[in-house]
Amino acid sequence: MRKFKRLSALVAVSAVPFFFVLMTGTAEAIRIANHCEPAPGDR
Amino acid sequence: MIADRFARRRRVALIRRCLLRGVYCRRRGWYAEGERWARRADEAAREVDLAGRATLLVDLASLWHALTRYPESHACARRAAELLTPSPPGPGRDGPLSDALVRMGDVERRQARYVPAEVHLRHAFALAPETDHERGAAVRLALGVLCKELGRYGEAETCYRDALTRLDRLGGEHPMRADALHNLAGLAHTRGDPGGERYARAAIEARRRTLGPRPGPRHDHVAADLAVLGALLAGQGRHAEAEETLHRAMDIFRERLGADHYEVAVCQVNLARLDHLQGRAEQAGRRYRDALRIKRLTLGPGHPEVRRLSALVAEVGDGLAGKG
Repeated sequence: MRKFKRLSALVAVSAVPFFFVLMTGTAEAIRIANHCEPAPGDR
Repeated sequence: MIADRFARRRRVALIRRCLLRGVYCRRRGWYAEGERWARRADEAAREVDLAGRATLLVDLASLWHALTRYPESHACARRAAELLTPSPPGPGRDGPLSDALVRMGDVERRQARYVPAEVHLRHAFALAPETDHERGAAVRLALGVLCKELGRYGEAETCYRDALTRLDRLGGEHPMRADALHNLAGLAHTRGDPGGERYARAAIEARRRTLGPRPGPRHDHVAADLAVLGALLAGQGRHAEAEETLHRAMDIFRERLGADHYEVAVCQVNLARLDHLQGRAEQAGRRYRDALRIKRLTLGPGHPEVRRLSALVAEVGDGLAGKG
């Protein structure tokens, strides 16, 4: 019984990325953003 | 021959599996694990001819970029561009090639290689189909950030506003909308325009709506928006609010990305300025030196930002020596 539980937990954990893949694919949106620092003359 | 084809197919499937796991880990904020999968995908991608599968390389470049591993992202994007360029023009080639060029251009801009960055981004701009609002917005955001760094603020604003218009046309809450608002806030900061605060707050709200419950408010993208808000508040002389906001951002960056990340250095520079303005010269000096150490590590000694900060650290050091 314990073995079965462990196996089903393993299957569930491995399946998560596959469901995730089915839903979203591998294309990760990138973040293109600027950074803010004080201008050199401000210091 | 058949064995070769079978081996290639297995290798491609391995790359896809590693990519999926990497993207999953990245979205959950598990950077170390995400990097492990990206590295495995990268190794597998080096061992196989990916002609006809260049989009996998674009996806890998995007994953490396999202993990803030920019040289690796550039290498994958460049390989994808090299594979795609000889193909005949058409939607199957132009879209992924535009994506690859945006990733290359954005990394080059971060490395202060502005001339190739602009060449690649203009090429991507020409390739992105007029009706593809998502790609069009990504190219405009990348071009806008480049223009801002080159001091072409009017052009940067046009790019950001065009990107926002395109994202609004898509409907719903696209994650890139928060980036466009973030960038408008950053541009306002550079111009000394106090109106940027509303963009920064709108970016934080938009980001919270698009991110899942985990890590949610502790996501490094939220931290980046908080950092912009902190810089804007500092610019308005609201020192206590700015300090609190910048500390919140820096804590998240340290937790998510590590203590030696570029984002931590940016927060340290902003906090150092606040220390300096409030007469805490020694604390300011410590922060500037820490930021310089991180920037040297992440950008390399020849980067213009490192040179500027080095000069500032020397100036602050001289000031302290003069007092002592």
